[in-house]
Parts: sequence; structure tokens; C-alpha cells
Amino acid sequence: MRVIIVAYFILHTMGIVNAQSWVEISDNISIKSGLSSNYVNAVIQDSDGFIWIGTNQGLNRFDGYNSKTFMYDEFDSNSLSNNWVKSLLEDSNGNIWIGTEGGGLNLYNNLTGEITRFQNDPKDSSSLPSNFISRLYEDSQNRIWIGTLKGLCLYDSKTKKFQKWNGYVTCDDCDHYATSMAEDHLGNLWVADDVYGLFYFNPVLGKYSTPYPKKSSISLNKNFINDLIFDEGLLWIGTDEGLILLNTTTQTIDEIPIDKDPTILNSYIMRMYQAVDSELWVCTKGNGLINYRKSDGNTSIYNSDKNVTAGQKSKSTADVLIDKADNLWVATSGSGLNRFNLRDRVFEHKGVISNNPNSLINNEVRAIHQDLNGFIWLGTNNGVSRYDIKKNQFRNYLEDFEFGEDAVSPRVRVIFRSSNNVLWVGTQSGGLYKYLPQKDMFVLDPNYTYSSANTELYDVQCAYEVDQGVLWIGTGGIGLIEYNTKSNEVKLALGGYSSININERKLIYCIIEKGANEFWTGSDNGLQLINRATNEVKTWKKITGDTTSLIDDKVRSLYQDTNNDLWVGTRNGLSKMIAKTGKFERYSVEDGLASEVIYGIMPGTDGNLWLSTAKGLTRLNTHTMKFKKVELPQNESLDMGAYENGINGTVIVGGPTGFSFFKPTEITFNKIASKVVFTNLQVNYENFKAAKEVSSLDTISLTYDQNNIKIEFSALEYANTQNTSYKYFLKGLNKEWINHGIDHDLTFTNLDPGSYRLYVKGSNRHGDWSEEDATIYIYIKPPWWGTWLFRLAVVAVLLILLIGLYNLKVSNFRRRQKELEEKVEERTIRLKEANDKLEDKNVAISIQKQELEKSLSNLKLTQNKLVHSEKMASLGVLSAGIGHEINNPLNFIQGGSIGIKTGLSRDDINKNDISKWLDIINEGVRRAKEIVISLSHFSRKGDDQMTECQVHEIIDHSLVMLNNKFKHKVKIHKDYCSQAPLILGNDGKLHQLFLNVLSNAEQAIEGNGNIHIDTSVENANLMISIKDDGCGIPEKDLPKVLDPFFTSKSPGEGTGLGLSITHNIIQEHGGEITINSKHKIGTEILIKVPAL
Amino acid sequence: MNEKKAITVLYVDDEEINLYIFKNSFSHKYSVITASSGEEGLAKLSDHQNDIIVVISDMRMPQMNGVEFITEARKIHDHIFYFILTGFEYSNEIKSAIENKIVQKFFTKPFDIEEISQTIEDAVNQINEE
Repeated sequence: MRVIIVAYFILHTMGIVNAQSWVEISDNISIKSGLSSNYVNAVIQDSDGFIWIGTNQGLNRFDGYNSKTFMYDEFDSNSLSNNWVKSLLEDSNGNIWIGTEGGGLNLYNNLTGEITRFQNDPKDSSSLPSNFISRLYEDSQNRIWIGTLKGLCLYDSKTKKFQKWNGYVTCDDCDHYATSMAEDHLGNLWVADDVYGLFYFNPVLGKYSTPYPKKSSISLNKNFINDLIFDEGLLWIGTDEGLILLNTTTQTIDEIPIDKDPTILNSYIMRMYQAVDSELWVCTKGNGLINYRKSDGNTSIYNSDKNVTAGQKSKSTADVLIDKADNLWVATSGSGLNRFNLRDRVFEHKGVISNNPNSLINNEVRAIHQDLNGFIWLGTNNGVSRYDIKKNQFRNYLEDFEFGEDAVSPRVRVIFRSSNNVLWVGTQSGGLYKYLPQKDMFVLDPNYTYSSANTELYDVQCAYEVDQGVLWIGTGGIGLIEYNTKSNEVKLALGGYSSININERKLIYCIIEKGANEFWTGSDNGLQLINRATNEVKTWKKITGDTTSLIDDKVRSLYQDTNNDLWVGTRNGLSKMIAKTGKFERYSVEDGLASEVIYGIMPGTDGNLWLSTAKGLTRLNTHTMKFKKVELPQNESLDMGAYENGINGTVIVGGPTGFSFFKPTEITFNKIASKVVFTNLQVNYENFKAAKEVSSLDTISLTYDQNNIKIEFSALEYANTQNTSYKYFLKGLNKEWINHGIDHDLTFTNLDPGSYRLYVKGSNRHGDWSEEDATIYIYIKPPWWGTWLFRLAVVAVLLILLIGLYNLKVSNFRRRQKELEEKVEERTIRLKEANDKLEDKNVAISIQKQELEKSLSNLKLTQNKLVHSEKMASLGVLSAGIGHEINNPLNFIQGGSIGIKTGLSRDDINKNDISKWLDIINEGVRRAKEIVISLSHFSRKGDDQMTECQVHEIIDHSLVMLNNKFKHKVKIHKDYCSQAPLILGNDGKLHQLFLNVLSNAEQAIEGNGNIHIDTSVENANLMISIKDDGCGIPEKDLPKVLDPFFTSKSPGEGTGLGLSITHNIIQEHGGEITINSKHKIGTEILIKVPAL
Repeated sequence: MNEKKAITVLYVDDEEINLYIFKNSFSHKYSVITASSGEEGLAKLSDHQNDIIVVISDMRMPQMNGVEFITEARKIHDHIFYFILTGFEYSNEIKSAIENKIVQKFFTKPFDIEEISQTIEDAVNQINEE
């Protein structure tokens, strides 16, 4: 798809190939990309913006993505009459004329997309004189002139007939091509004929001149003329032997030397194109495309491929066009169509050229510096290159580097010049190098070292001269280093090696000066302002929820402008810190930044900033705060540190594919983005057939089942179509514009019947949106049962039915009413009798109710007491156990302190003894603390709050509390699930719950036994299984164990409320309890609670 | 050699730290033998049956608790003094052991050196009086 166009600038006067050349990347449209043939004869752009490409094998309409091909079809009279397209013309009505070699003329109607054929009819003298068409031309009076093998003719649009203009012809039956036409400022039409030569005539007067020239020494008649261009009294004549200039006023003729390379012959000119900026582009048959600058006569040759030698077909160019966006389209014979944007000529791009020592040393550019001589120094991932712009020469430094033992390769991260004119190179893990101009080599600076420093000192990422001879080095591991090159002192900035909190700012990406001995630094931990005098450090970070804070903590680049406002480039957008307020503004990709990752900020003129980002270069106008993308030849990402504001404002940026530089003043931007056009429409997966061409369609009307619509479109932005973005708005479905990205089609499926209007906008290569929208109405008719008429009919029928039913009901109702009235009277009497009886009973019931309420409240009181007594009982059980558990550690503590005391009093204690005693005391404290922590959870019972509880911890606390009971009796087997499940619960109650269950398990075990505690998470529930191998519960008791007051213990030993309370606690937590038990085998309590 | 060193005390506790503390608290007064379980205590008693005149045992121990150990010991060595050193509780088991004269007295942790010394000396005096 892409080829490289190399331009050799040829010195007009000296006739030698200029050493300067530039390499650019552009598009190639060929068979591979859908073109019908690689032999292109003619190329034009129509007023919509489509590129029409006439080839030896059909006609193509290119929209930037796809080519639509028009070919001859013997069964379709509306198809192209012949596939050999020679000449193309868009007339003033926007229709396309297609001249063919042998098939006559075709007229494409831009509105309907239909083709009308015009062909020679030997019986009709007003038909086309010949089917061999050489050239088409429309004059200022909108007359269409056709050059044919039988000479010139004129098309009459009213009669649709052709009129021969053969006043100059001496043999009417002979073949002679009218090869080219051009109108001069007097209204004369100049015609080149391959037999009769050059002449002109006045179309109104019909008077012919004699063939030219009469007085010149150059016999024009011998030359075969292919093209004529008239420009301000001068006629440019492209011949088979070069370019000739005819001054029509003075009647003088000049040979214009456009091709002075002595190795090639005079150019055979095919076509010419007059550019507005007074450049003439000349297509030659063997020498490629030649650019001729009229002002100074300078010429340059553009070849489609630098590897193609002279005379090869791809050097054979047939037509040339400059479109509205300054794209240069070059039609070739054999290599398809090449596109190259002329504005990109301002960019120079340099990279590695394999096997060429005069090229960049390594493509991964990470540091750039332009010195006072104009040399550009490039630090790469493998050495340094110095580039001399004037001589286009590279000097590469790899062998001359000394490398540290650990340095795998000289990965340069910074190149800078200190005030004493020393050029420094900082490398990743290789330390700091100095350039020695006398030896023209780099040497490692042995003074940049520190005795106890680790290798991170040598990971140099950025640098700044903070005072004369004093460098601040931002490292990739130990923050900021201060290196005094006069005293050779190296220390951590901010007051020495030990005082810095290196965790704060490990990797420093950039350092700039604020003024007054204050410096800004950027790191992954935000923006810092360091006062070098006081060592005071202020830090700014992103504050969530505060849009006036820094946009991101990962700061990559800094620039302080003339208002002292600070621009901060981060990994996630751009911030501007307003000096007066200290508040930050934020800018992101939505505002037009090429990428959210900003590696470099450079000042430009007129309030512009150049932003080097991970997706190329963006220009920011700080007055309007508008961003414009700059399409560099290296449109891949740029890289960290690889930017330089060079001499005279030159912007130099680098990245993974070398470096680019340009003068910002030479850049021009497209003023507006062109209007998007619709290029294809499919309904229910088939191309939609309409009376109009898709691009001209304004309305489509569809049936309810034609509701799958795919529409393709193009912004007709041929440069960098991979970056052309679209947004759309389907009125009737969407509420707002939707960003569609770079896809150039839209699909709507199952659209409901209704009225819609689609709007589409496109962006140009700088990120500007088109002002005018492409739009189309889409009307989907409802099915017959969905129409209003049908709906009204249904409603009417229903209404009639309802009214009928209503009347029927009313008469029935009246009859029933009468019957009912009689019955009611009878019943009322009976009811009164029954009522009297009931009233008597009611009094008795009321007394009973009062009694019941009283006993219920007594019962509640008793229940509360019992619940409390259960708590107290379990607390009692606990305190006994805990007492024992806590006294052991207390014994440790006391024993320890007495041990030390007596030892000291007797003076027979040594350090080891004391240490041992202290260990014992600490062990006592540790155990006591553990018990108290567990106990504190249990005592939180009164608290009703639900919090996030860690069940494993709660079980462990309960186990600690019960340790006294379990010790020497029960072996605990824990199998906790790997994640620590949280539940929403009451901490105290959960402790009571597990204490109860575990305590029950322990009590069920007679002698020694085991308790298994398993937890798992299933379907967002936490499952806890506590299984003992104790006595189990007899089958008859199993249904009752959860009942309050059920107990298997002797009176006084338990309240029988334990499991009941456990059950209540689980229910309060939205859980379930299941008890599986086998008498004499064991019991499993299965608790299921919702996990968080 | 100190005269009082003639008294040999056996202390039984399953916590190593407690044994260490006890030994260090009393070894300047008495000859202290320690055992970390009831079984070991019985073995030590047999080894030193002519020396040990006081046995102090922790209550809560694996396999054999303090009272169980003393009950066993008393079957063979009835002439010596037995005491229980308990973490906290005055349980029914201790209570009945004292009532049945299996155990003379119980002490609680953290232990009071003076109280224990006094009790031992009283007991030894009692023997000497006999």
C-alpha cells in the first residue's frame, strides 16, 4: 500500500543532482487495493471530493477506503462503453465525461449514477466523429470540446449532438488526433493536433490561425504535442521532446530545461498540472514526475520508487492532480496511483537505513539536543548520532563510548549542554558521559560516583544545571542527585544521602527551573516544587473528585510559560497550573490531544505549544485552547525525552522510528474538514437500489421488514485515513451525537417503523470536525396492521362492542337489583337477632383477652430474663476458663519479674538470664493480650450495629476463649477456604454464636475427640461446618434442639436456650442453620450466611 | 551447703516456662526437681523416693491431671506432702481431694513464693515434730 517517494533536487543551473533528498511515505492505490488496473491514464477529483481514476481496464471512483469500479458489460447498455479510459472531465454540472480508446464517450450522471453512451454512427453526421477519444476540455463558456481521432468536435448540450470543428483539416477521411486544448485570455481555443500541429481559433468567429510557429527556429510541427496549459499570456507546451514555452504576445518560443540529468534523454511529456503556487508538475513517460518552479526554474524529480532505475515502467507517469487538501496524485503506467501530501514536504524524517553508514545509529531515539553549530545530537537506545543538517551527514558514536560493566548497551536517556559548554550524555544504568571535542568521543565521567551508592545512581533519566557547574540528575531509582562538577561532590539532593525519603520520588522524569532557586520535578508521585536553599519540598497530586487538582500523578513533562503558569504533561492528560490561584486546569483526548500520554512540551510562537505524545505531535493554541494534530511522516508514537526546541524554533521530536524535524512557520493546516459523503447503502444485506446515486440520496423510504440498514461513508480525507474519525446522530433513535471512531460504516438493525434522520460528521487529519453534516432521511413504513387507519378501525369496532355489552349489563343489573332489595330486608331481621347474641359473648371474650395479654407480657419478661441468664451462664463458663488461661501468663510475668529482681539483689544474674526472663514476661503478655482481644469481641454483645466481619477471625477468637476447655481434650482440625470471607454482621453476636456452637461441640465430646471446622463459599454464601465426633443427638430429640428451653443437661447446668439463641442470631444475619447428627457418632452444625 | 537445701521438692507442670520460673524461684532454698507430666512425676518420685518430701503439681495437664497424678503417687509414696497449684478454679475435684486428704492444700497462679515457702516449711516442721 505504501511506497517511498524520493525526491532528488536538481540544481537547475549546475545540472547535477542535489545531495539533499527527502524520503516520504505515501499511499499507493493499485490492483492490490482494489483498483481495476495498474495502468492509469487519467485522474480527476470531482466537486464532491471523490477521486476518479481512468485506467486501461475500467474506471474507478475512490473514496479513501474503497474503489467503485465501472466496467463494460455487454448486457447492460448503461455500463461503460469501453474499458480503455483515456480522458476524464467533470463538467460544470458535476457530471463526469469519460473518453475511451475505441468505445466513444460516456457521460456519468452524478445524481442518478447512470451512464449515457455517445458513439460514432457513420450514417449520422451529428454523432461523435470517432470512438477514439484523446482529450476532453470545458472552456469558460461551459462548452465541452472533444479531441478525437477525426479531429476536434463540440458537444451541444441542448440537442445532444456533436459538431465537427474541422476548418483546419485538409483531408476529412484521414486519421489525426486532436491531442490537447487550452483556452487563452482572449477566448481563443488553442489546439494541438498530431498531424496539423499547433493552432488556435476563435469559437465565436470560427476563424483559424495558421499553425505555429512561423518565426521560431524550433520547428514545433515536428514535435508531438501531448498537453497545453495557458497561463497569463504564456502557453506551456508539453511535447515528446520536453517542455516548450510560447509567449503568445511576443510570439517567442523557449525550450525549458526541466531535465538536466545528462544520463537521461529529454523528457517525453504526457500531461502537466498547473498548481496555484506557481509550480508546474510535469508527467513524463520515462523520467517520472518533474516539479518545475516557475519563479526560479528549479526542478526536482519525483519517482514513485527510489529503487526503480531509469526507463522502468513505474517511472512512466501519465497524469497528475493536486486535490483540495494538497494531496498530489500521480497516475503511473504500471504501478497504479500514488498519493503524497505536499504539505508533508516541510517535515524531514531520518531513521536507520540499512547498510548505509550515513544514517541514524539506532531507530529508538530517546534524547535530542541541538548545539550552537546547528548539529542535532540524538541519543538512542544504542549510542549517539550527530546529524549535520546542512551536509545531511551523520557521525555515529558507539565504539567510542566506554561502558560500565553492567551496561548492556549505551541506552541514552538525556543529552544536555552545561553552561561551561560541556556536552553531557546520561544513560540508563551506564552513568554519565562527557563529550571530548578534541578527541571527538564520549568518555565516562569517573567523578560521577558515590562510594555507598548502588547501581541506581548510574540510571540517569534527566538532568538540569541548577547552579553554575552544579547538576541535578534525576535517576531511575534513588531520586534526585546533586553533582557538583567543580568539587566532584556527589550527594542526594535535599541535604545528603541519608535524609531523603527515597520512597517518595524514586524515578524523576523531568526537572525545570521555577526561578529564585526553586525547581519543579515530575515523578510517578506527582509534581514537586523543591526549594534548593531550604530543602523544602511541596507536592501536588491528583485529588479524586477535585477537578481543579492535577490531572494525574504520573508526571512526564513540564514547561513553565511566560505568565509563570506551569504546563504539566502526564500519563493521563495535560494540566495547566495557574500561577495566581495554584489551581489546575485539565485537558484530555476529548479536548483534542493526540494521546493522553504527554512526553514533551515545547513553546512555539504566537502562543502555540507543541506537545510530543505517545500518538504523535499535537499543536495547542493556548489562546483558543484548540488542539491540532500534526501528521508527521513518523506517525507512530513518539517517545519519552525525545524532543527539542531547536534553533530558530525548529521542532525536533523522536521515537521508535527515528526523528523528525520541521520549522513550525512552514506548516499549513487544512482550514476545514470536508463534508462526509455516503458511499454505499445496504438494506437487509443487499445493495439498495435507488433512482439516485447514494451520495446524492436525501431520503430513503423502506417497508417495516426492511429494517436492517448498513451505510458506508467517507470524509474523502485521503491523507492518513487510518486516523479519520466519525461521529453520527440518528434522530429518532439517538439523543445525542455518538463518537464512532475510525470505522467508516454504520449498521442499524431492527429499526422500528418510524421517521429517522441520520447525520454524520468526519474529522480531517488535524482532528477538526466537518462543519456541514452528511444527512439522509430514513422513513420506515409501519406494516398494514401498524398503520393509523388500521388502528382506528380496530378501536371503532371495540367501542361498538363495548357499548353493546354495557347496555346488556345495565338491563340485567336492574332486574337483579329489585330481587336483591327484597332479600336484604328479610336478612336484616335475622341478623339483628344474631347480633344480640354475639354482643353477650363479646364481653366474655374481652375479659379473656385481657388475661391473655397479661400472661403474654409476663411470659415476655420471663423470656428476656432467661435469655439474659443464658448470656450470663455462658459468660460464667467463659470467665472460669479464661481465668485459668490468663493466670498462666500472669504467672509468667510475675515469675519473670521476681526472677530478675532476686537475681539483681543477689548479684548473680547475667545478661542471658535477664534476656530469658524478659522473654518469659513477653510470652506472658502476648498470651494475656490474645485472650483479652478475644474477650473484648465477646463483650461487644450489646452493640446492635452490623459491620463487616471476618468470620475466620471470629472463629479463631472463640477457639482462644475455649482453649482452656479444649486443651488436652479436643483436637481442632481447621480447613478454611483460601479467601478470607467477609459477612455483614454483628461482631459480638457472631462471637456468641460460634462460642455456643463450639462449646456445645466440646460438651458433646466425652473423653478425647475431634472438632472439624470447614468453611467454603458457595453461590455467594459462606458455609461453615462445625463437626464433632461426640455423643450426638438422639433422633427423637433432633427436631426439638432448636426449641427454646430444650436441654439435655441436668437442671442448673444449662438454660436450654443456647442453640435457640444461636438460631436467632443466624436468622438475624439472614442465614440458615442445619443440624446433622447421629447418636453416638457425632454432630455437624452447618451454618450458611450470605457472604459480602 | 545450706541446711534448708536438704528439702527436695518435686514440681510438676506441663508448661516449660512455669517449670523454669518455679525452679528459679525456689532452687536457692530447696533442691527442686521438675517433671512436665504426671507420668514423669511418678518416675521422678521413684528415682528420688528418699529425697522428695514435697510434691507440688499443676492441676490442668494432659493425660493425667494434678489430682489424678497425686492420687496415683499417694498409692506408693504416702509419707510426703502433696499440693496442687491451679490456674484459677477451686473445682469440685480439688475440693474432694482436700476433703479426702489426698491433697494438703492448693495454691493459685500466679504463685506466691512466700506462701509456698511457708507451707513447705510448716510441713517439714510437722515431720520433724513427729
